[in-house]
Amino acid sequence: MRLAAQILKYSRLLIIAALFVGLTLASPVFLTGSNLINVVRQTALLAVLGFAMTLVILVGGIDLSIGSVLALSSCLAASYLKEPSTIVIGTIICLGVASACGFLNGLMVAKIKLPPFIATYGMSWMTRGLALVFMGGNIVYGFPKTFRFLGAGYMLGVPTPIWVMTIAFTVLYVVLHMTKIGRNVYATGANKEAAFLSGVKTDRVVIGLYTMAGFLVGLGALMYISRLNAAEPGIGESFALEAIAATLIGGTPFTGGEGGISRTLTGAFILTLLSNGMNLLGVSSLWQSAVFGSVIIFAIMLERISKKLGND
Amino acid sequence: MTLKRIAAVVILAAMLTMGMMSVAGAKTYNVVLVLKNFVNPVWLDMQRGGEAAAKELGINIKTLAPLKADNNEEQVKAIEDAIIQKVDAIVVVPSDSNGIIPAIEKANKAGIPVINVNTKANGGKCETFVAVENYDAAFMVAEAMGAKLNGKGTVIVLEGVPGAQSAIDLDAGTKAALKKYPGIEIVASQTAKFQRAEAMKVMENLLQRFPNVSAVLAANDEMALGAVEAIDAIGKTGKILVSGLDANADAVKAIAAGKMTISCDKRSYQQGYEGVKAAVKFLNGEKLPARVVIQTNVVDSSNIANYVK
Amino acid sequence: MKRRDIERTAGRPRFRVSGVLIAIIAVVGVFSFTAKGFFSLANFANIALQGSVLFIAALGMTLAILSGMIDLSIGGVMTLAGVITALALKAGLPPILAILAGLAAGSLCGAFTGYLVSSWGFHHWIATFGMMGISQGIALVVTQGSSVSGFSRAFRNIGDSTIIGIPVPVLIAAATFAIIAFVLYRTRFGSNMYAIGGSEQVARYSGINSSKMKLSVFVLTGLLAAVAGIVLTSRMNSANPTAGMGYEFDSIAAVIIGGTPITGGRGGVKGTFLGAFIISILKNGLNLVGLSSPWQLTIIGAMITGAIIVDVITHSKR
Repeated sequence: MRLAAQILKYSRLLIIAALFVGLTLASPVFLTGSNLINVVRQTALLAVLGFAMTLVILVGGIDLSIGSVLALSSCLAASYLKEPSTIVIGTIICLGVASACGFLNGLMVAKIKLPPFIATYGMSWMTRGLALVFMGGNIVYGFPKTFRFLGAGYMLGVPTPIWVMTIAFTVLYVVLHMTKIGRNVYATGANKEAAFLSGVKTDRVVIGLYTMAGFLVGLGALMYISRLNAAEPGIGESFALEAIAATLIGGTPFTGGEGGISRTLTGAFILTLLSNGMNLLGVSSLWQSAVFGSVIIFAIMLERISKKLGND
Repeated sequence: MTLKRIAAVVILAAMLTMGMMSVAGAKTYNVVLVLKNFVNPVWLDMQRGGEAAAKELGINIKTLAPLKADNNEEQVKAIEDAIIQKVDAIVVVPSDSNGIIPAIEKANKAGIPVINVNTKANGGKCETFVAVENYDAAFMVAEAMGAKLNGKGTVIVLEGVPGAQSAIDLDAGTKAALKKYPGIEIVASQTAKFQRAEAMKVMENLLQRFPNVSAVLAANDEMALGAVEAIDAIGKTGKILVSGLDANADAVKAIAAGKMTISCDKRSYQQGYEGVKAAVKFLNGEKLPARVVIQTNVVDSSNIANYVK
Repeated sequence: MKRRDIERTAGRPRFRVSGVLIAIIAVVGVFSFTAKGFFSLANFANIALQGSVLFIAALGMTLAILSGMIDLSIGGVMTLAGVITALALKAGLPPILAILAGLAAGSLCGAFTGYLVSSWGFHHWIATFGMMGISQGIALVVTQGSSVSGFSRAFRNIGDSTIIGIPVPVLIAAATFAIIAFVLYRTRFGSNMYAIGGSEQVARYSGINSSKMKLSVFVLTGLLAAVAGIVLTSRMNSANPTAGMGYEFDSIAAVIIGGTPITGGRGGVKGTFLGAFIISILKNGLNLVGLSSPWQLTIIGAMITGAIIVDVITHSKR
């Protein structure tokens, strides 16, 4: 039983190893430099969105609005990002709009006490609608080189998105694991009442986390449209599903209070390897949503089993 | 409670009279234009064309599109609502060639003429079908691409929304033209649903398997532009040729910048314009041909100057 | 507690008419003045027809919410059931068997979600969210992304024929409503639903097998979603692999607007009737007015979210 528990504890690393070996054997293209860089690059965006999701899941929440908020913030900012002279304003608008949406989510969850699923689901429909209204059927296309650097450029031979992801990861890691704020987050997630009674301003923690999640979504928006070289209102529909899958398969439980962003990084990597593998083997992209849905359920089952074994 | 009930009855009665009054009035034709969505600029062009025709001919026009892009049920509901309003004609661009049939049949039953634009409806009675020959347009583009490749190489085909008649015709045209070049092999043919972001994702994935493909033939410009970015990311712009259809504003820029190779002007504005015009002609008792064909032009570096605004 | 509240918590919901009914009168009033053809018998029949699919789906959602849960997989399951029925028809099965296959598919999806929730202790949100991805994904895979269409007259009759002047989908919705209302208000099973929605712990102490209850509730929501999906397929003469997308949101909205609080334990299917139809009236009216669809999306989204916020605020003040 102990052995089984140990195996489960390192199950994610085993999954990654198995995927690596399996894909290397199955496809000659897999273990090439360009493909691996591609995998890491795709991981970067998913990881940033996954971090956003992880933050709110840590306090027992969820954010279904990330795809639509990503669309809205990029549409509102796009015309500014198109001119080299106003890129800074565009960036501020993008991050600001996304953070504001996150803040509203936080208010609805913490103050109005809406269930997070409902609050963020409603938010997702409203922001999608606003993005459509704002664009009025048009698409903003063709960003300047300076902006495209963020999503499609290289720095020291490494794609920029990976740098962005690394910075986001480092900052979040320090805040979550080395500061009082971080301790308050975990305390709130583990037991909100107890945390509140011991003096943690739990509402503020929750609102702060949703806002931070919004900010990260804004960052993801910048990375994504810089990569797509266009902003349109229909983008990002599957992102919420993917980010939730990355968080849960990484091992942050849905109940909150444990786990964290390093697990989500692993989760994002597993998912990207999975979809890369499906592509290399010629599996139709129609399978994607079924696979991601199954991954979510599988991840939780894994969690349950390891808990049970751990307790025995 | 009784007071409330009385109030309700009074209000209802008032509304009934007002409702009946609003029916009376001067007679100008009312036409409803039902589009696929308000996400792709093509439909916006079509709406502008339709509205221009309406203004010119002095009729009322109302444009509707599903809230969820390409949602068939909402298109059906929009037509049902138009029938209730007893509009004089319905101009429809179906997103699902089969799913739209029940709505057209209802309009037929109500005696309201239906004009079919852009994407063929596979059933019901439409007075005419205003469209480009999608098959021919795709054929021309693929033929031009084959010539640019000197008749050899490997290509990827990006298809439209599965099941839509326009997507089927475009795909058939592309593949028929490519058959003329025995040296060209289609290594992959996948749908990207006419969407740019979807196409970028699909192409990123396909390029992992086929990094040395010679060209990508997309069934519209949105998908072609998504492919352009995926190709750009692996630094193969110009080495992998890209073709699309529609000649929309972004594609024109991309061709002018040398990122895209070929497109085809499908004149969406004209399609909307002719569609509404056909409706009015029919209402005025003129006879319509079974098919109104909109001429198309291949757009590439040789004539791009005519399109750059 | 007031007498009314006691009645409600005891599982005998009162018809909370005031708010919704006033809203409906207001909406109908506005559209009667602004939209030509809105205030007519033909249009009311049209609204009833257009709203029946949502109403059936929302009945299932009501059961889930009453029991203190939410089913986000309704849209995906609708699609899948429609697609399975369509494929079975195309394979030459008689309509009855094809419909049974669709209903079975829906119930199976529900049973699987219910199994995850009751035996594995999954949170209902996440179990149904996963199922949403799976059912939607399977529908895409088995159809290769295309719609499946062109059915026999016998099957199409479900969606587009009338009996004594009433459209069949409306009759199906009415019959479903009657059955669900009977189960809810007249059987032990129904009052048990209210009990676990009110407080699962109390329900368990009073001898209710709550995990069995949850399993059955999800099977029922899956079944009702399948009914909705099949009616939709017949009405459209086509099963589109994304047809049900968004129905989960509209159903949640219908339930909440109808006065069943998101926390469960109170409310009922009568309110859902009003909730589903006010949404259909809104969509129909905005179409008749001719408002461009991006604005429609925002208006409807904002109104629904607003209604939910008002609901939560009024209920949390107790």
